[in-house]
Amino acid sequence: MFFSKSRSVTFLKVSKPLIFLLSVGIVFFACAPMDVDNIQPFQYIIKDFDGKITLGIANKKKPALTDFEPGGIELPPATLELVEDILTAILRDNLKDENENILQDFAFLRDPVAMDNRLKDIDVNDIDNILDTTIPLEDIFADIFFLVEDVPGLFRYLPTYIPPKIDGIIFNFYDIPPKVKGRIIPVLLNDYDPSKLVAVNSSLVTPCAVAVDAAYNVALGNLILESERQIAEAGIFYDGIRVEIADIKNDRFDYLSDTLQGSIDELRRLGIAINIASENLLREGKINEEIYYGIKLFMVAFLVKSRQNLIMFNDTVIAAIEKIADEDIERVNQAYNDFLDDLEDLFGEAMQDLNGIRNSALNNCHNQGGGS
Amino acid sequence: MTIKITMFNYKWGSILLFLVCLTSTDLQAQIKLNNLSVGSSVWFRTYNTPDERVALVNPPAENGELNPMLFTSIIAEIALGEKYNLVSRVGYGTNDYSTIFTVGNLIRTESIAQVLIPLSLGINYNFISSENNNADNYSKKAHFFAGAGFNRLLIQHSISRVLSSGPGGFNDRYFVGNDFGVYIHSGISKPLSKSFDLILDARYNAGYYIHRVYPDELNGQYLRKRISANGIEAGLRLVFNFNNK
Repeated sequence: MFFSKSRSVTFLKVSKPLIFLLSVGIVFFACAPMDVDNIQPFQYIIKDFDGKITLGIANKKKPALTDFEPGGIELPPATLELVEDILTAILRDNLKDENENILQDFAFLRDPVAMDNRLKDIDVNDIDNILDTTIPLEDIFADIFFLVEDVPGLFRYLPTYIPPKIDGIIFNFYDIPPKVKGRIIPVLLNDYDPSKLVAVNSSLVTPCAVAVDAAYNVALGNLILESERQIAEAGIFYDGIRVEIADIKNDRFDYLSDTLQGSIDELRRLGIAINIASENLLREGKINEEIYYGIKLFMVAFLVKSRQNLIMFNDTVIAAIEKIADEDIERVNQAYNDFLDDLEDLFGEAMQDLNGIRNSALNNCHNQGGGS
Repeated sequence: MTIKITMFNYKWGSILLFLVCLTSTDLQAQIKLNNLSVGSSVWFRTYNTPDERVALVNPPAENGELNPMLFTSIIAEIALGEKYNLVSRVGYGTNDYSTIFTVGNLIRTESIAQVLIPLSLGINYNFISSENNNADNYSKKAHFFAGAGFNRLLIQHSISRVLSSGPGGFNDRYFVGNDFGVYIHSGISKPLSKSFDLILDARYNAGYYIHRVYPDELNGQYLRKRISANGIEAGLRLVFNFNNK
């Protein structure tokens, strides 16, 4: 044993007061110091902007689309009467006298030596070739047309070309205005950086100003969201019109194709019918050879002029359709730009209100003093 | 087997040791409760730091001014021989602090209802002459004493906030903390009878405690602000002597 029993008892008797003091001291110093905690920082709640900032609805106008009259190939009444007389003369004894005179005038234009054999041999293939604009026209047919073209009294019996009209104005290839392009809304936020305005005054209470700017940014964010929503909505609206314009353009090309083919068919039918009628009338002895060649010459001039009309109709209408589509797109772009201008104005007004409220709220963030 | 020493074990182990000592009749025979006293004192708190308002909004920047606090205390003295006493004390004092901060039309008033409980443990030396130590004359003559010890400050703050408008106000959010200090102590004891003495004493307390502050600007981070617990404390107390034979 390290200690005897008697020595242990003595030690305990002496040391008990020390043990007591030690234990009291330990209790006193046992726990570590502890900071007094505190309330959390004050949160400024800014309601100045609530429900006060709204962005008006910018006006989306649907532009009036271009009015289009495609024109076409027209047979003047005198031509119809002449053709009708030729086609129906077989049922009667002869042609009408005035038409015989006209056809006589046609016949006088020709050079019999150079032309009669070719005129006599005209058949369906020749008619098809004249109307087929992809095949070069025979010189003799062109010469015949030029002979007729120089005589206005006869030229008026040929088919006429009606040019297309755009918004009631005859289409002119050479008067195309510069295109209006669509744009995007400019970045408006560059002018409204809240950080530029914070803490410019030493008495401005920063947490309050920060709370104001947080509320300001929320309101500004809502404005931007609303403007973006309107822009997106307008984009859909105007894209729909652009699609509509593209559909109209395709429809017009389809119409042009159908009209061209219909015109070719009709002109071919008339050409064949006149050619057959001329042969029948001569064979039946209801017309003499002069009138026969007059009919042939009229028919050739009729078909060549029709060919010329088909070419002009095709080229002009194609250009007109393209131009109309472009112009309509320009109108849509202009309408979209007008919408953006309107939206910008509304946005600017809302920003004025927003900044006014912000300034007022910031003025309310100044330390007014107060005793402690 | 290893025993993990933690603050919890250390604390409760020492309390258990203390209770064992108190219940030991053998120890009671050697260590005697000399007297028990009740009294009031005024602690003239002087600050070398900003005062408690540093924990509130819009705190003053300058150091705190003289701030008298009234304390009620219970003091027990245990004789450690003829002239030395182990002195322990529990006090209780309250005070209120408030600040006002006006931002635009928003007036924010924050206040602290403070409860300060100083626990003290120290040793006094009694200047008792041999003549005065005579039992017959003991109760008839005054004597001086002086001593020193440690303070432990227990602090409870009930913090309230009142706003002139809008949300954010509240009442009585409680926060507690503690810290250490030291004191020196002297006084005079005048016997009134065999059982009762009257003591006029004074002590100088020194120390501080830490208060956390969450400034609005720091977005939830806190600063540790030191608050002084310095000052002279003077008081009067009535003493009941157990050792009156």
